[in-house]
Amino acid sequence: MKMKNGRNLLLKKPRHNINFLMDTKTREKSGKRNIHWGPILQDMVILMAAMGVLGYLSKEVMEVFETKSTTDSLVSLIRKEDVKNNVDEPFARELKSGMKNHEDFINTHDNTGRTPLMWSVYVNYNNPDETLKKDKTRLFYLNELLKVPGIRVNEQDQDGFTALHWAAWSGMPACAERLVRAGLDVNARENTGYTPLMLASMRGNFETVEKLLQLGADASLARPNGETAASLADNHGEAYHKRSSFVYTLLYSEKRDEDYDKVRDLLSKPAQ
Amino acid sequence: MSKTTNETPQSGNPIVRYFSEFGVLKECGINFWLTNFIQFFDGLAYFTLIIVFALFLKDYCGFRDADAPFWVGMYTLFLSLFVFAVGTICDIIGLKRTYLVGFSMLILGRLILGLGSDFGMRLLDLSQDHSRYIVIAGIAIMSFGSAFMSPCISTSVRRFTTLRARPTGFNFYYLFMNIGALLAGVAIVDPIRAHWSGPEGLQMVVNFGTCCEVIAFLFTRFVNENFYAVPEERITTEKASSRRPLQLIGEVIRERPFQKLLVFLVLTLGVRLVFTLQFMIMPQYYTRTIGDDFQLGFMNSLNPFIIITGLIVIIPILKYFSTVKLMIWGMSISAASLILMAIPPESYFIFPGIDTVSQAYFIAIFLQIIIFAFGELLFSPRFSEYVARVAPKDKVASYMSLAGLPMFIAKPVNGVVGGLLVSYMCYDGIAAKIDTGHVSYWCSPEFMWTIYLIMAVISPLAIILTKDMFVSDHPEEDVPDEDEERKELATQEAQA
Repeated sequence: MKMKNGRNLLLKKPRHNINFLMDTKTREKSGKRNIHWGPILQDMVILMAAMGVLGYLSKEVMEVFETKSTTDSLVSLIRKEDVKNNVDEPFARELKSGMKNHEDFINTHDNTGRTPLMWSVYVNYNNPDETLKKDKTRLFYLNELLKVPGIRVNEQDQDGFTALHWAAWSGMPACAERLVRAGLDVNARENTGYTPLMLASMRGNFETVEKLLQLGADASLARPNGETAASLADNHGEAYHKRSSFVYTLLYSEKRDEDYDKVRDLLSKPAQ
Repeated sequence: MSKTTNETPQSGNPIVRYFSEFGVLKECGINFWLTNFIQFFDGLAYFTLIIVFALFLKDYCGFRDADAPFWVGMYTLFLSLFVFAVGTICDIIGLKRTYLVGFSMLILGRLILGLGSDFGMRLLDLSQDHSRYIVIAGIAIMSFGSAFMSPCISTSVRRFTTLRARPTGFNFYYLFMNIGALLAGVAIVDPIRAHWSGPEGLQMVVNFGTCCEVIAFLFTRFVNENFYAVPEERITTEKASSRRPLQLIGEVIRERPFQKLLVFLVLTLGVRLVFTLQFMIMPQYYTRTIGDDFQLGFMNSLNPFIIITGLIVIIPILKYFSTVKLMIWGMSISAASLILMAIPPESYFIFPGIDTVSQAYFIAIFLQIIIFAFGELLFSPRFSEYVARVAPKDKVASYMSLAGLPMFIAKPVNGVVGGLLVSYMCYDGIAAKIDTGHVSYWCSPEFMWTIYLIMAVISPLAIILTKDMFVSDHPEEDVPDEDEERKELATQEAQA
């Protein structure tokens, strides 16, 4: 702040009187006279400038550490799911522009190693009905991405998840089927040995388990610690059932509880 | 009628005693009640937005993981700073004009925000990146409009209540605001999100808030701004209008009590920043660890529920305890509540009925909110009281309005830190990686909470260590009548 003769310039006597902004009647009614707007506006401008500087500096600092990917915008448009009449214009435009401006755009991995294909088949809902609804919408984006020349469907993220692992964990049977038909290995293992079937079973995603088995998933495969799809469904199903008690009702979906039972039934059949 | 209220023997039941005070409000006219309706609908709009704001920016407007909490932080900064800047305008241009300007900007900003990035992308053919600037403009306009509300509503409550009814008027205003916050979560956000899932539900919540603002604006048209419950205050207002925010800083910055207060305020920043996490980080934390359809409105309603209960039952008891001690206890309890989220979820498996990580997260979140709110209940009212006490008698209002200064710096810092921590340690999809054992403690949400825990714990420790240096200027023992002082404080706080 500039100082003149030891006095803060901001505290000087007001110079501008724009009292004329108020009509006479209002002034008389409210009993307010001699309103000096100049210094008030001056203060406001200074405060706003200070705010702008603070904001700008904060943003600059954040930019240094922020994780960014060229596909961020595309992924956010997939998550928004704004399909109208089987068309999502902003998505199509972003995809086109990304492909034009960045080499290997469609296979770009973000900070967690995920590609747009993996993001297109990921949702996280407690209620399986909600997931199944999303499965239909996301299939649109999955198909659009699979149409792009040069897309590599078998890419893995930093922990070895393929797009199929994400679809299985999320519980999206239609997307899982589409991915397998596009060439993904139905029995692919991520870094700690989980197959898509194991992830779907662990989450009690009945429709997805059923679909994966139809597509040739091997239910006898085991992780290094001996866990199989069936044992995972058993353990997690039992734990999930306890959510029906009062304390956890906010986390509980009756359908998922039933689905766990169905998954256990389904997985016990090949063993018999 | 109000006389009868005063003569009624005090009931032993704190609930009856609390509500019996409201009898005095019968002497306040229609303008007071209109103001409360304005506050209620404006509050409903604010609280519904703040619960989903970070998620809305991320999922609907396409902001990056780190950007969403950052812009929520910036919104709160804009809001505080604009309140500081426009605080005196209400006294100058009159209530109705201030409401008109404020609500016009607020509704315009919210409409822009409600369109999200669609406006830029669909109508202007802009890219997602460029469309975000339109959303940011919406946030700035909205915060500017919002900034008019708080001083304007406080002025209205003050103007439309008699001296006798004023403390109760402000109590009622505070209670009504918290009821709005309570309803925003359980009665608005959760049902809307249950009906419209995903980003669409978030947009609906924002648009619902816009409708509330329109209703609140309609109420303002019926307010008679020329009514003064205490006619002599018309002159006081005229005098007060000459004081400007930066002038206030200039007046008190060289005063030793204010400098001491500033150091004290900086020391409390750690725990006060944690208060803002509830809407900056928590929504992402809930939805990413537990599920997108998690009823975050319910969780957010727990806090106002405890505050309301506390206002009625606990606060009257607390007046028998020392202000500074209660502040330290409140800060310590709030800070310590983060331990519940900082420990690995597997630690909860020793308790019966907790078998999965999701269950552990749920219990941790639930307990943290309850304990944190209890700490806040002890801390927040005492904090305002402390600021008023260290101020020289003739400058209480100035000190109180300047007490927010350190937060201006801290809010954007918190936005940056919060945004970065979320993007690294609570990224979308982390639940799948936790389920499959890929997330080490150092990359987990628990470590994120450990960092916040350290920040929060610094505050009570620093206050305890420097207690004699900063907080002994005006010991509460000097105050002859605490009840009277508290009532006076409620009025001064509102004036500030």
